[in-house]
Formats: sequence, C-alpha cells, structure tokens
Amino acid sequence: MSALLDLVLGVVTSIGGFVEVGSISTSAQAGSEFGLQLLWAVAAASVMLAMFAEMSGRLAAVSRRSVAAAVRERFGIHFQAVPLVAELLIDLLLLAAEIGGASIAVRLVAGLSFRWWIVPVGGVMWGVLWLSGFSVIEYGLGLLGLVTLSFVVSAWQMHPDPVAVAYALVPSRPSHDLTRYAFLAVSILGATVSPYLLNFYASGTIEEEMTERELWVNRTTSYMGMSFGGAVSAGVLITSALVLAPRGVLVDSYEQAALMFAPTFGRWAVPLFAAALGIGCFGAGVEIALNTGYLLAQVFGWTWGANRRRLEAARFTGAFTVMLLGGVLLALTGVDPLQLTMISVALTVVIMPAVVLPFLVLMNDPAYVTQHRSGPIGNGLLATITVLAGILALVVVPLEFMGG
Amino acid sequence: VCALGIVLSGVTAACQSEQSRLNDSVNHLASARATVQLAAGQWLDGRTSTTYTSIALETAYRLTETERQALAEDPAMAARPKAARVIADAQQQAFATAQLRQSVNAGDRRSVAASLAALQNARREP
Repeated sequence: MSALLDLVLGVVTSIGGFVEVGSISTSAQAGSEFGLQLLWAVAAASVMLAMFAEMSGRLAAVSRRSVAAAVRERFGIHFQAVPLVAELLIDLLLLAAEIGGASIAVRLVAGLSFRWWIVPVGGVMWGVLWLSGFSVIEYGLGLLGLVTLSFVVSAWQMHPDPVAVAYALVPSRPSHDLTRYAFLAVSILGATVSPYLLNFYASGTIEEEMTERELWVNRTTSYMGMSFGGAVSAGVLITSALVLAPRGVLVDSYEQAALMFAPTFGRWAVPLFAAALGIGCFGAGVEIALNTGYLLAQVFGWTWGANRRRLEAARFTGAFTVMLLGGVLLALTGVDPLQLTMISVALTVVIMPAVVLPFLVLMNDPAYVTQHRSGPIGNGLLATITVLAGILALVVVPLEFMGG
Repeated sequence: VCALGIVLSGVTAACQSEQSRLNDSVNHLASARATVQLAAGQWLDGRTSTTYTSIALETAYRLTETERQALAEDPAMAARPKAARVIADAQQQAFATAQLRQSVNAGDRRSVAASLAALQNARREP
C-alpha cells in the first residue's frame, strides 16, 4: 500500500515538477518560430530524461550511492573535478534563471521591475530549504506544480490537428533558419535533461530509503511521470504554435509568452500563466540549490540529507545557502532571465557528455548495480545521442550567439 | 571538434548577410507590434489587468527600441534605403507604443481604441 502511494505521489509530482523556466522558454520559442515542427525534440528529450531518471534511481536503490558519490568512488576526484566544476557553473546560471523567472511571474501580477522581487524570491526559497524535509520539498512543490497542467488544457482547447501533431513527432527540415532550428532543438534537450536532475533524483531515492525490491516503483514513476511531464512541455509548444505563431508574436520575453493563454482562459490567462511560471521556476530553483548541497557533500564526504537537522549537516546547509546567494546575486545584475535561460540550457548540452558518459559506465558496473545492469541498446542510444547533441551544440551555440 | 566548431561558427557568422540581419529585425519589429495589438486588444475586452498590459507594452517598447538601435548604430546598415525605412518605421512604432501605454495607465479606453486602429491601419499601408 505504501509503495502504491509512493508510486502515485511520485508520478503526480513528476508531472508537477517537470516544467520550469527552461522548458517553458524553449518550447514557447520553438512553437512561436517553427509551429509544431520541433515537437519531436520535446518527445525525444522526455524519453531521454525518463531513461536517465530510471537509471539514476536504480543506481541509488541498488548501490545506496548517489551519482556524484559513485563517480567519485569509481573514477577519483581528479577525473571528477572537470564535470563537477562545469555542473556547478551551469547550475548557478540555471538557478539565477529560475529566480529571474519566478520574479517575472510575480511582476506579471504585482507590477514593479522584476529586480525588486529577486531578493524576496531568493529569501522564500532559502526559507523552504531551511524549514522543510525532503518529502515536503519534493511532494509539496510537485503538487503545487500541477498548475502547469493548464498548458495541456490550453493546447487541448485549441483543437490541434491530430495528424499535424503526429507528423511533427518525426524530425523534418525547417522551411527557414536552419541554425536557429538546430539551436532550439539542442536547447529543448538541455532544458529537459539537466545534469542536476540525475544526482537530485538519485539523492531523492536515498532520502526516501527506496530499496532494490522497489525498483518497479522507480521504473514506473520515471517512465509514467516523465512521459506525462513531457506532455506538459508539448502543451507549451502546441499552445504557442497555435496562438502566438499565427499572430506573428515571437517569444522574446516572458511577458509576451503570457499572451498564449488569452484565447483559452480569458481574464484568468495572465494569473494562470504567472502561477505556472512562478511555481515551476520556484520548485526548480529549490531543487537546484538543494542539489548543490547534495553534490558537494557527496563528493567531499560531508554529512548530508534534507531530512537531517540543518545544523547537524552544516557544510551541506552552507553549500546550498552559498549557491542560492550566488544565484540571487547573478540575477540581480539585471541579465535578461530569458537570455540567461537560453544560454544555460544550450551550454548544458555542451557539458552533458562529461556528466553522462561516466554515469553510463557506472550503470554497467556490477560492483554498483549487481545484476540490474542497463541493456546495450539503451546504453548505446543514450551515449550516441548525448555525444551527437554535444557536438551539435558546440557548432550551433556559438553560431546562434555570434549571429545575434 | 571544439576548434572546428568555433572556426565554423566564426566563418558562418562573418558571412551572415546584412539582408538576413535586416529580415531578422523586421520580423522582431513585427512581433513587437503584434504583441502591442494583442495585449491592448485584450485590455480593451477587459480580459487583462492594467498592470499586466502596461508591462507588456513596456516590453514591446523596449524590444522595438533594441531592434531600432541595433540597425541604427551600424552605419553600413543604416545607409541601405530599406534599412533606413525600417529604422524610421520602428521609431514611429516605439512612439505609438509609448503613447498607448500611457493611455492604458490612464484608463483612457477611447484613446487606446483609436491608437490601436491607427496602428492596424498603418500596418495595412503598402
């Protein structure tokens, strides 16, 4: 009964926690610029995330180690230094983008410049991290995040052509601007499969004391939760494609993106969009900050755990506090949160091979996963896509930025 | 691979034509104008708050000004007759957007409706 409850809660909160600043901005831009044409990228990224989430949960349940701790143990600190620093940098950019996104959400309903809301948003995030255990953070924010289902409702109400939607699940050549198309495809992947999610998911599995006998719960939660979560991201893209693209509105800011709910929700459009953006960004921001605590504590062997008293795990607490402070300071510089998001999600794909490839090695090491090793097809597919996406990102990211 | 990516990027970026940059700017200016029409139209229908509409119009104003400045600060671009027309149109669009925002803040529905109609008519002109 308890496992079933965990399963239901896990699936529901995966849906609620799926959408955040990266997926909203990349999907909204993709829809407004290329219609439904990039739907395949959302679907592919969601499948990849489901596979990675299942693997990291399996690694943690079987070995009782998180991804960071296992990589440190298997490859040593010298090997881990580069991906660790890269991940921390990307996490800092992402955290600042999430704080900026949540601040813009408050601005949409309350007015004032978004910079006025950055410190209060950061303060509330820290308060949640200080006061809450893992379940409250995971389930509480995930359940609140169900407001993002409004993207699915909106897409449904716009009556998209099912044939066009099915056709868009197959990659096709764009009619214009191939570089921008490739950049958005890479960004959708980076926004969906963030490296922090691997370690966060594994750490959560340990926090929840999931055992080898509950691997089926982990598998079902990963695949069902991430598939439904991917549907929310697809909802953003479809709504944007059917509302903003025909009117010629390109998503250069979140303020423009908020208009995508107008035909469906009328006077509730902006408050609902603000709630979806705000809760999505807030939840992801809390998770990113918490993951910094996990990451550093697990690599350096400190005491960690969101369920411990904060002073009992002082260095773990200090790590997420410093990260949050860094995110707030970066957001306060006034960098446009949408641009910051696009930069960080694109760079995520560049560093992804350095994080993912050692992880795939672990998933084939019987010392960590005993007989629960990954199959050759899944491994090969994930490794190939990760490396190809990394190479593509190396080409299109500079092109996009140098081309303005 | 890293070096190849950077070299390729540099070469392609350098080769991006002025025409393509101009087309990009025209598209973004049209997007800002569409945002103004959609946001102000929703406000007139009582579907969006004054707070949000004012923010959306401010954003559209900034986007218009960013595009205009990007074109105007490049002498080679500004020397092209088509670019000069786009710069002049963008300046007018920014002015109209700022006025619309002021009318929305003042709650002047008649003025907003008139400005919106003028913006739509201006768009239809060849």
